[in-house]
Amino acid sequence: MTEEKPAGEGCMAGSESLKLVAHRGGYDLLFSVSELVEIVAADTLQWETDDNSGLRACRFRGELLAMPDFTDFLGPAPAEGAMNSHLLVVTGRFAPFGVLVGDVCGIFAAGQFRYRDLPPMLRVPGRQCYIRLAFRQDKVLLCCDAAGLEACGQ
Amino acid sequence: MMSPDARLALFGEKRDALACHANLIEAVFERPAVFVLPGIPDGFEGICLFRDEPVPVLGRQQFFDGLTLQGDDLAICRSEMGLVAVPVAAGGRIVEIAEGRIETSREDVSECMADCFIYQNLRYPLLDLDKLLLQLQP
Repeated sequence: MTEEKPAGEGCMAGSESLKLVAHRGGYDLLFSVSELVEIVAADTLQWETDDNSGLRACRFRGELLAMPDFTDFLGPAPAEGAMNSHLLVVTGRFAPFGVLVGDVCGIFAAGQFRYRDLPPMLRVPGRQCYIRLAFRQDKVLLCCDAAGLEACGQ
Repeated sequence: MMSPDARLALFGEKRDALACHANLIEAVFERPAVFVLPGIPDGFEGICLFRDEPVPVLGRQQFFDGLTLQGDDLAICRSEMGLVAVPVAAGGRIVEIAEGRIETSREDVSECMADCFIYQNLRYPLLDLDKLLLQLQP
């Protein structure tokens, strides 16, 4: 049985108030740095097919990392090995999982964004991995939290 | 003096013609930025920002026979479910209902499009936003 990690363990230290901004599929995504284990240049990844699931996966620190398909939720992922793309290793409830993104724009203080809930009229349970939006400099970003991503990736 | 309920906002003239009760319109913006979002219900395009709050934007599309929303401007309208941005053609105007007449559709194409406003020999589909939004809920 997998032991659940306490919040914060295995995450980037001192990162609770930091946000990472990345592009994917035409959308601007916002991740809490405290929910990220690591950021890896995607063109260095070793891709394999998971014998159990038959899905594409990549090897991360010697282990196969689950790579849920977020195409329906975040738009198409960058192609395997695409230049300037990145793998975000996200803390999962039981195990980390990977999210492929394109450019990483940077890491910003959480206070640099304004946050609003997605209007109830636009919510569709099970079809969205974000329920909050962030605004900064005339941009709208989807707030991707680990729990929401994990739920959509199952 | 006529009450504000007796006035309609008219947009467009032909395929983009649309009428909406003027008292439901908070503002009209020329070519505002619309942010597309993934996974939202069919019939919506994304959000725009109004008074620093995200407002759902209806899609520029045909919803039913006789109801096509199009245009680069957005009318921010009140509904029972909150504010909604409706794509409209540029150059809207406000008229008294008494200057034309409301005609109930005999084709009964949809509940949302039961009525048309006839004004200067042009037909303006009269938008019933609350009924339309109910039909768009997943």
